[in-house]
Amino acid sequence: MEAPSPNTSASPAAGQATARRGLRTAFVGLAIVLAGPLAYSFLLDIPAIHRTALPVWIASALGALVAMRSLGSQHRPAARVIAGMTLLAAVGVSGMFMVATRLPDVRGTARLETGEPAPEFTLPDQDETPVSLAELRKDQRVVLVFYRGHW
Amino acid sequence: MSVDKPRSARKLVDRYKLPFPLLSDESREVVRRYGLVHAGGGPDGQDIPVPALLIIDTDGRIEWAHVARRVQDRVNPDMLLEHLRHRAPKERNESTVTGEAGSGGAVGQPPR
Repeated sequence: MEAPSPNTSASPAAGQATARRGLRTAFVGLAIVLAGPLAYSFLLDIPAIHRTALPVWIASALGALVAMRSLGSQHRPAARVIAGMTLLAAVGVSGMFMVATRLPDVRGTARLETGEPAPEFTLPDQDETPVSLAELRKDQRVVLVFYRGHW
Repeated sequence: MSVDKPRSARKLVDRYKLPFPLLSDESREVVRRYGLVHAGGGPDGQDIPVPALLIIDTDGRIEWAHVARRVQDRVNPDMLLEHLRHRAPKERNESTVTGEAGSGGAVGQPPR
């Protein structure tokens, strides 16, 4: 990158260079936004990443910042279009993530009040052997985890 | 507990060397009884459970419960262990439960 100087911006060549840089900045912003979900899917095995979806939020915010910056200075229309797309993508990606990760509110249906009896059950384990809650909790407390399943 | 077939539960137990059983509620009956159905939440639109963690005491009463509000919400395994240690059971034999929860990967790294 050349050193910014007030004199060079007047010359057409310098103007073009600035415009090119603006376009490049706009593309970098878009790439950053799109890299968020990609990074998230690669890092799913890290519990903290899985839980917080941090790469998505960081990439969206960072990409949007870069886009705003390229919008702020004077650039050719292409850069503005890309920057606009980047802002839309940042809002879209993080919005989609918020909607897609929302679970139904089961407060109405779940009878999981502390002190209430837990419904008894008998279910097959991984070897098809029947296991009952009554048997499990006979001598010790039981940690019962409902999980979404493996896919 | 999940709605997976015992066969896929077996795979998970093997892969993560889980020291506790993975139960299979294919009919969703138990999930329904606990009120934890996420209708159409599975990858193929099938009904699956809302992620939840319960501590059930030796009298069969719910001692503590956490229900996820978002897909990625999980109980922090350290907090769970802390709870199990500090709220000692009314009766004997806490160590087995604590040991199970601590040594397994299922609490810290749920499949999904």
